[in-house]
Amino acid sequence: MKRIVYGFVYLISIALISSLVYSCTCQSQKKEKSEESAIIGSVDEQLMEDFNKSKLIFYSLPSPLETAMLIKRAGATYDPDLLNDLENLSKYNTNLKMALNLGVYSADMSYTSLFDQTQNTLKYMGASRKLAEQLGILGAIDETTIRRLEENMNNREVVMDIISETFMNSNAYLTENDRPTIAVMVLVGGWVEGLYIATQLTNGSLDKNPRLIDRIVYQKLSLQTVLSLLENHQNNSDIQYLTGKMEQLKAIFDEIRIVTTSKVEAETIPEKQMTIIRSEAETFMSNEVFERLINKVVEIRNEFIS
Amino acid sequence: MRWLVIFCFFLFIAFIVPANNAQAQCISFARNIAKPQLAPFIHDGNYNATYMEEGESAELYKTFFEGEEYRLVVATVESLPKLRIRILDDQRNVIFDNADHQFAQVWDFEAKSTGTMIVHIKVPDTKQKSTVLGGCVAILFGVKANNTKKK
Repeated sequence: MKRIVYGFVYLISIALISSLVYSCTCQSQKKEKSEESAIIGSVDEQLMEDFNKSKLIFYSLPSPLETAMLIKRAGATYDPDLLNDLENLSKYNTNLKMALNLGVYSADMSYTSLFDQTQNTLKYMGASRKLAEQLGILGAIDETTIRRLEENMNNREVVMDIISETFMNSNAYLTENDRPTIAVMVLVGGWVEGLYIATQLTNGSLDKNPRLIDRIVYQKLSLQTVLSLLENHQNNSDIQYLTGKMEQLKAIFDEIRIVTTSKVEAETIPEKQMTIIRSEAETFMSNEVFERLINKVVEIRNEFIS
Repeated sequence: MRWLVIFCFFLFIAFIVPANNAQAQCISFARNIAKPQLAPFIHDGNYNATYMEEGESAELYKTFFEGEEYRLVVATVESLPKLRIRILDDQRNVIFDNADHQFAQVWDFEAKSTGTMIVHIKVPDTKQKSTVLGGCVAILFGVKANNTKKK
């Protein structure tokens, strides 16, 4: 017993010394930083220094909820045939498939909620819950979430809030439990499903809904974000597979041109705590490129959900 | 002997556990402190939060879509000072700086065109030499939801 206690005391001592050394290190780093600041001097240089030394970079993809809002505001309609069949749920038994389809079902759930398809929203929430549980994401979607959803089915604002909460919970759980690769797979699955729904709703026409086409064209920027997210985890074979798929999409998006014709201008209205951002750009996409884009999205999405 | 064990246990709780949980606590902070500030905008669901110390900075890349209105909330724990927030365009030109607006931590953006923006945040250095302040920082975006009530 004595030996165990001494061992314990020894470990605690080591931990305490480590803590003290750590805090000393922090302070010395801080001192170095302030000395560095004194040397840098000018404000402009300091600003550049800040930009160049950012500790952390977040890449924020349009979430499935934002994508569904973008699709709806572009005047698109609801087509239940575009949703991933819930019967497919039992097929997903690898981490990759479960994560991708958690994203896919989340996107479908967002799409149904924006068009007030309450029963489908509930069903897709149930499917998302199952996949989240299989992935070991604890507490992201639980019985309370489902009950809250059922009780508020007639209030779209609350439904959207519940959906956004489940995204944040899943994403946070995975990020904070050292499973960022799964988090990225979920995001990619959701993004591809949003792109699939948007492209399918055009019925292959560039002219029918120019606003929706515009949303699709600008996914070129989101694809860059997807690739940046994937780039950070290239030691994982599933991520390498997804990178390959996204590179195939990029090859087509590279043929879509977005030409900026003016600088970004900002007009700030302080009393409204608001800034209006504008610039001018022209976009170019041929019918042939659009057709290839639609086909490639279908191919990748079908691979994800199979 | 028992007192010695209890003493060591409390030392363990006091020094080790907080260090390990610093990261994990940011979800509660983001959910309970940052997210409510987005109202009446709808949170997009993305989780961007981390532990930061004074003097550190971070960036977030976000595409603003034409015709959409966004609310940015940068929230910090009370022990940290207000953060410096700058919005840069894709050429890294500063198009908004909260230093010009009393370091406001909540700001709305209306996109008249589509483009990727960079949110650059910095925890100011408080110049207190004895300790380094740190805590959770959350960067959340909300999207304005028009006609969200069912008819």
